[in-house]
Amino acid sequence: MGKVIAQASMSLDGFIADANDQAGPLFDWYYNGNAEVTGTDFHTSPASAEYLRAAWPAIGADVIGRRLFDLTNGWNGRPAVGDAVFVVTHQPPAGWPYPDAPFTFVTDGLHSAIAQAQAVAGDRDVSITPGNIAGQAFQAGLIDEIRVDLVPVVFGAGVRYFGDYAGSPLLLDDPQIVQGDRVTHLHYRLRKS
Amino acid sequence: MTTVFEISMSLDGYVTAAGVRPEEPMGDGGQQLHEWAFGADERGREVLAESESKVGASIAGRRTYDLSVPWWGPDGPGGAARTPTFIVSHGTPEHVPEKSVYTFVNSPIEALERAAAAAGDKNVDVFSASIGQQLLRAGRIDEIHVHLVPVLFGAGTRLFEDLGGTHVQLEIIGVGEGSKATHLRYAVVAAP
Repeated sequence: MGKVIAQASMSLDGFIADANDQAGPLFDWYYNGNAEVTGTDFHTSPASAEYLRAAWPAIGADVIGRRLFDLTNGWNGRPAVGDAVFVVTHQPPAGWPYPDAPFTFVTDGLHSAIAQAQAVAGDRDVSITPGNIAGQAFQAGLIDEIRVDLVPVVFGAGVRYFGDYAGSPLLLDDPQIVQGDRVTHLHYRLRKS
Repeated sequence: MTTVFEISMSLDGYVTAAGVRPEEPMGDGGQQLHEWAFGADERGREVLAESESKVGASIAGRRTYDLSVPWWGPDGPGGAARTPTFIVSHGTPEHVPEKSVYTFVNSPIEALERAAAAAGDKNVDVFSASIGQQLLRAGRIDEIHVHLVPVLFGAGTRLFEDLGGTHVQLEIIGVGEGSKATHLRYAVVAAP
């Protein structure tokens, strides 16, 4: 079975979207270079491209919360990463116009969503896209690794990468660091207690 | 003169753990935020030494002072260097160590002006979250240096919680690998 990895771009003060649910400059690094990443429309700096080429294909399925699904309209039915998306929600959306999209609406909780995602991913990894859902996953001890694409901006308010995580302190190993253009990629492993 | 807001922070944005009190000025387990500077890691010691060599004056808030003065003693946060240290405070505390480096001033801006005069060509280092944020909002911070520590605290004092929702644009100056902290240096491009 693969790993469960929280992954997102983040402001220096820990936000994945600002107070107006906007990403501001958080995604600029995906499009500020000439290096292509196969299977995506990204054109990044060479360093970011190399980082993505190692991380991206290893992800088999993605787990997201309902808020992100609504904000992006489910990326119009095309998974942003992985082959399948599992949306944790109380109630599936009515009339979402992409019935054939590889999206599954999971109404029996986060554990179930991750288990279903792992079944699809097989040996590959499962990503969890923050915010609140990542906080819950950390709380439940379900995360193996953290990937933060740290962007040089302070938002002051917004949607937090780590949600409302309020568990006991979690120790991480020192990260692998890749410096891109206007982004610092940080890849951490959680220490198993 | 460069004004630097310098602080150690957990990956989830806290500059102390929960439970800050006189016996535990960094909160329960919060000392972990400073392990990079006082541990065996050579890179950490280099980062600390480089930072200290550039600091001409320091600014802190009264709460930081109250919690830290038992450790700092009369020499202040700069230790043997006896860096002039300006504390933003309503009034002067009853007990201040004799022959100390501390000056008590009324506002962050006054602290900055006096610290700048004392620092000469060297940097002014701000290391209280609340004072740093006030100066950042006033457009008076030139650089932010964050020592990003690989831990999630889940509670404590946040580095940036008083800024409101206005973006502060930064530019990456440098990223240093280290043991128990990643050393991030940013220039402030546009303040709120």
